[in-house]
Amino acid sequence: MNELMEEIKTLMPKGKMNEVNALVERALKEGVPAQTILQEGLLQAMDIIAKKWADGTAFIPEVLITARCMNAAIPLLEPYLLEEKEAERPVVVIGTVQGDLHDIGKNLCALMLKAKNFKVIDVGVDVGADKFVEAVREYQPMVVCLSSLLTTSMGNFKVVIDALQEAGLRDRVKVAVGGAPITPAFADEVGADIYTEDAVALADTLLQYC
Amino acid sequence: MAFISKHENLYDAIMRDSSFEIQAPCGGNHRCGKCKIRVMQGNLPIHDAERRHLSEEELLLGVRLACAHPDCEDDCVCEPYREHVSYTICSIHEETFESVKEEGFAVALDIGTTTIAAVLIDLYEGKILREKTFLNPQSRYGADVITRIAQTAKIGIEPLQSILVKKIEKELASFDGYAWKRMCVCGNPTMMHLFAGVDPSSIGQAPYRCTLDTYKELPGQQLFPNWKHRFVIQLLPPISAYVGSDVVMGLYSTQIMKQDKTKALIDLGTNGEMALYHDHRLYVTSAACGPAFEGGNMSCGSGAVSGALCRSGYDEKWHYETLEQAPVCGICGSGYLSIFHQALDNGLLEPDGYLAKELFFHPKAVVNQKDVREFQLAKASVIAAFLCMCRHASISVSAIEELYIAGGFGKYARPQDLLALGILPDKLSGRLHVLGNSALRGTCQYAIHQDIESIEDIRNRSECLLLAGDELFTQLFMEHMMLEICNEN
Repeated sequence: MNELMEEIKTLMPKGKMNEVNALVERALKEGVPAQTILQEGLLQAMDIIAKKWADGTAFIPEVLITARCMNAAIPLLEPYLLEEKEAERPVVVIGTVQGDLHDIGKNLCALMLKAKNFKVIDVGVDVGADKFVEAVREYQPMVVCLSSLLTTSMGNFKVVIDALQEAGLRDRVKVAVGGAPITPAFADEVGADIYTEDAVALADTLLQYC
Repeated sequence: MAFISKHENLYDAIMRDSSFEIQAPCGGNHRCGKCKIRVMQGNLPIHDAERRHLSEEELLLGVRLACAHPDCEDDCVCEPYREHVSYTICSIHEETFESVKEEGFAVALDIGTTTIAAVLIDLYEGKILREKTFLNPQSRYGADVITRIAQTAKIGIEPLQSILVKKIEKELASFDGYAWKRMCVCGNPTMMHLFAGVDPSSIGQAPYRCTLDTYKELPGQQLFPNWKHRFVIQLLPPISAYVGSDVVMGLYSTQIMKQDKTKALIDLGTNGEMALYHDHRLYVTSAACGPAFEGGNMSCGSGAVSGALCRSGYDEKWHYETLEQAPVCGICGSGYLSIFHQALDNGLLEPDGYLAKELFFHPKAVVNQKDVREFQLAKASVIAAFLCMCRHASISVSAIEELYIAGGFGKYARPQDLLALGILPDKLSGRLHVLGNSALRGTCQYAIHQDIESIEDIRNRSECLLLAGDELFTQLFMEHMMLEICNEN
């Protein structure tokens, strides 16, 4: 069993999606519990790459490649993960604010959050405040994550936060903000609860709120 | 020199004084550490941001960051802190143009985000009489167009317009006495809006549109009341919000559509504009690659100024050259290319971008891991956009017969470095042509020929691709993050 997990962990950062899937299926056939494959195979591989990112030895592509492999393998495990009910996974709503069409950073955050077993509702790019409010009302997430790559659209964080306030939802959800031009000071200024420098730190930080 | 009172916001006070020379690439957001000033009198404590961004030597000299003192701790007197003195940019000085024997003179102006180039042309002879290049004084409001647009939302358009117009007026004083008939102006859309005093905010927000999107003429006196002779300002039109009249004029100067060949043009500046001509259509896009190629965002980055490290070589140890053989003051874009290429070939840098040990050339020229990562992002963005454009036109890269490289950075960059690092596809080896400032050249030609229909033809046949949010682009962007030869067909 350990050998299979080790192999999964070696192949994931190389982007060998088909081989990883085959290994996952083999492990299931050999009677390895789905929870073990998830925890000791897929999620550990993500953890290793996230640590490498944090110390500067890995970069966005390796993280994305690994995360893609994980996302492809998870559906294979899902039927066996019954005991873990959908409702028990913490929910996060994520999107790029109005005025901005950039999605690479936001997608990366979504992938890292999924890797930490969050249920991620991605509302897309150029998303208006009303759509964020609607999503918060519908999915009742623990955190709503707002992304902006452009200095010109980062002011819309405040618009979303104000709209949440107005809808009476602000005290039911934490707001996290991020993007290249964002600083901790700016996050404070708009009244966000959480700011992190990158996607790995975001996933780690949100875990503390669970 | 500026006098700042205790409790005043130091950054705001300096920004109000338009004669105070300062750069603020990030717009006073504590991120870049470049808004350096020197405190001559008064005692300002050193903040964390300053320890991070300034050297021991600078701190001892009394250098501080303007944005680190929102509530100034003391009455003080500050002066601009100059690290770089002279600025060099590619010249088109020696060239002559085919003329139509019209009497009189004209000015051609290319307003870039970083630099501005202007020439005075004798229309009859088709000759350049004077040439001026200077830094865009708006750099005090941010290094990139987005930061500047964000500034106009805070302080209005007027300060950015007037500082630009005044600077142009001052620099063109040596053209006096020629009473030019017209001033033909090209530039990226944001610069054109700010020059004309038009609100650029629509460029900064999706769906990213220009307000000033057609050819326009203004009386010279409207912007330059101090010049007494009558002349007309001709504002050349853009293709889209991120592909400006500078690119249009570059395309015009290469006559890319005159022959029935598949050709491409790429400008490796901050906005990474590119165009592909194939089968009577022109595909254009831009790959917001950031200022990495121009030395922005890099720890020792510098523009192509005198003293910038511009070439390197390695045989057991490093050697290097600087622009104008001046003492080292930083590393410019072509310097980084050359360093990364050599480091890769000699195993000091892994193809995945891992740098085991910092590369040290001089205390003012060091390359660290973060620099490599910044460069990888810029590189991936250019090649991904280029391949996206080719796929959109349904052609293979090898179908491109000629690739023109425009822009100041392109002038100094060596094709072998661009190919070895995978910024451009290896298949195009031997088909690259370095143009230099093709935007200014095209604007000169337009000043002479006044054939607006050729310009409109370029615009009408253009199809613009927006890459933000494009799935193929995202995929190619990730695939080409590595520093290795791009073997795409």
